[in-house]
Amino acid sequence: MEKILEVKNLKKHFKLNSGWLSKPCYAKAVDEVSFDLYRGETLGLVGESGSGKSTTGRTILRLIEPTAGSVHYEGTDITQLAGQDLRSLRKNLQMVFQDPYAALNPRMTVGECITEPMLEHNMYSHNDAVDKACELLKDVGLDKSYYYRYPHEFSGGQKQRISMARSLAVAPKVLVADEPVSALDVSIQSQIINLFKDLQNEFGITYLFIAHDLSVVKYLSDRIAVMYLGEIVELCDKHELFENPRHPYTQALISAIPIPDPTVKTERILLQGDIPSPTAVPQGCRFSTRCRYCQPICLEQHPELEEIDGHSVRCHLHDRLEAKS
Amino acid sequence: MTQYIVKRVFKGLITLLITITITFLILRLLPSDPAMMMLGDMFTDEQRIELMAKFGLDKPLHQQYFIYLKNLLRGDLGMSFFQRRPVMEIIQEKLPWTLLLMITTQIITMLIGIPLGIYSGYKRGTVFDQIVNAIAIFGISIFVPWLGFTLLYFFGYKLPIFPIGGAYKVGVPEGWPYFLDIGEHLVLPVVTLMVIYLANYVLYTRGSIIDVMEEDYIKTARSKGMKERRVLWKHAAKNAMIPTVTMAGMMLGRMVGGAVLTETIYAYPGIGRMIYQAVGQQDYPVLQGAFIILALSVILMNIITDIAIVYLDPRIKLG
Repeated sequence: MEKILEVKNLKKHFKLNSGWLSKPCYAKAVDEVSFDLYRGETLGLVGESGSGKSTTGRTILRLIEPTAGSVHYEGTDITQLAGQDLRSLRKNLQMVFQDPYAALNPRMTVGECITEPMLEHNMYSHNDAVDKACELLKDVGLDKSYYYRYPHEFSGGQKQRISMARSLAVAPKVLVADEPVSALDVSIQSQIINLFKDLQNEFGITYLFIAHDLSVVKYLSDRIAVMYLGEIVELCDKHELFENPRHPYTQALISAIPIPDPTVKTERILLQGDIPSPTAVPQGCRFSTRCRYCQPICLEQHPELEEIDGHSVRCHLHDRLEAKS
Repeated sequence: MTQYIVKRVFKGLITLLITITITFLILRLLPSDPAMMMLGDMFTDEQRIELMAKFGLDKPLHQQYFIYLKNLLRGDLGMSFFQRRPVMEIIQEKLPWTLLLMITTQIITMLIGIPLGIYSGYKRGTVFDQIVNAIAIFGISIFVPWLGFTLLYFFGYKLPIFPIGGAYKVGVPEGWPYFLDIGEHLVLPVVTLMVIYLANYVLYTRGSIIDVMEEDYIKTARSKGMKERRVLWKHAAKNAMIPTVTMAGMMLGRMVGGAVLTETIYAYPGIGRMIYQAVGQQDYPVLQGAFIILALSVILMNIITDIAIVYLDPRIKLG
């Protein structure tokens, strides 16, 4: 399969308390993240709050400047682009934000919001842009009469549909969806997820789908990357991940998915404590503070992401853990 | 929309009536005798009673109130104790000067303050932002008479570039020289007021821009591939203007009250100086007139602001 996006050693360290008397300290929100995105696939990016998923998504799109690393889109390193080149690139890479209530400019009508990028990139004449916007509204399941309405007149689910129409306006190749359903009611979530799937079938867009809910990702993704404290700890095919999770963190996440059958007994792996602060990441394995299999080596040596048969995992004990389960 | 405006105007009228009533009552509560004010010490009891009757002050309070309202409707604000002429006439004479001074100040301050606030909010934390902030805080904390006297001393006396006071020179011919002369007289008071008001526009706009720039829809705009300039001035600035407009409305409303200290320092013949003098002369009708005009203007500007905000922010529900 053809790589459309290649992320290499992406880093984003936020500088904190940079007062002139205190020593600067850094929050390692994203640390050495590497993965490839293949054309037409959906890669799910999961992890709990604070694991750096959203920062990864935003850094890839240069909505946040990366500290280090590269992102190649169809061969071009987009971290090196600036000015007009970067703005033109935005046609190809789009994002749907988590909070549909905040992502739409309250002073612009739905129509203005959707047509603006088309006009900015000189893709259509004004009249064609209006037609295209109405078409997009239809594609996302909204009535074209909504064109002249303002965002506040819509519900969360409708706003997320508008956001999707907006992101599709420039006919992007890659769409980063940053927890697009977590702010919505459960009943609306499934509609939006289905819409994502339909739109992918229709337009052949590649998705990077960020979520903290494994069941959402399971339904949509082809492959899944699990993030913990700024790092990818496991990355493989969706079926492989659910059947054969190798990282203790992934195992805990999967065991936490509720099964809608009261007769099935599951062993829940309960994680102790909270995710450590990204300003003070543990030495050695970052998951060592909460891992129930933790060994001396885990406290000392930072594990590398090892790949065996397309299944990458970052754990010193992954071969032994497999034997245990 | 029409219904909203009608409702808003109706509310404004009620507010005005309450203000007028309070002004009326406060004046009646004052421990001074208006007849004594007008006649001075040399009067007989007969003269006093005659005068009270002439002004209707012998009537019961509620009758006085209705006469007062009736006169107000006719634009009659009473007679000045000190100048012996209608208050309305005095205000009509002073108001244009105050409006000239204040409108000039407000327009210049807005034109400088709002873009400065937007840009320094955008460049938050940079040296530029810190300098703008320092100037704004300096302006808001400065003691007006000190600033006024300093400017007068240096630019009116030591370096006599600008006139030392007043609003115009007597005997200047009509046409351009006259306008130029008025402009020259405006410079120092306008600069003084600008220093004070600039902070309002800069700090309000700056704070608001900082909030707005954090919003997701700014990220959306950037992700659309918009030019940064357009993101700032179209997406951010438009949304950030709402608090600034509200504040500007309040400041414009208070405008007709003049600037008591500044007008007094520069001997500017406006409402502010009139209020200052009326306090010294215990000229209550003049003060009362000034209060009513001020209330009317504040209420009117509030109505206009409320209507403007509806146009600015589609999220505001009419009601």
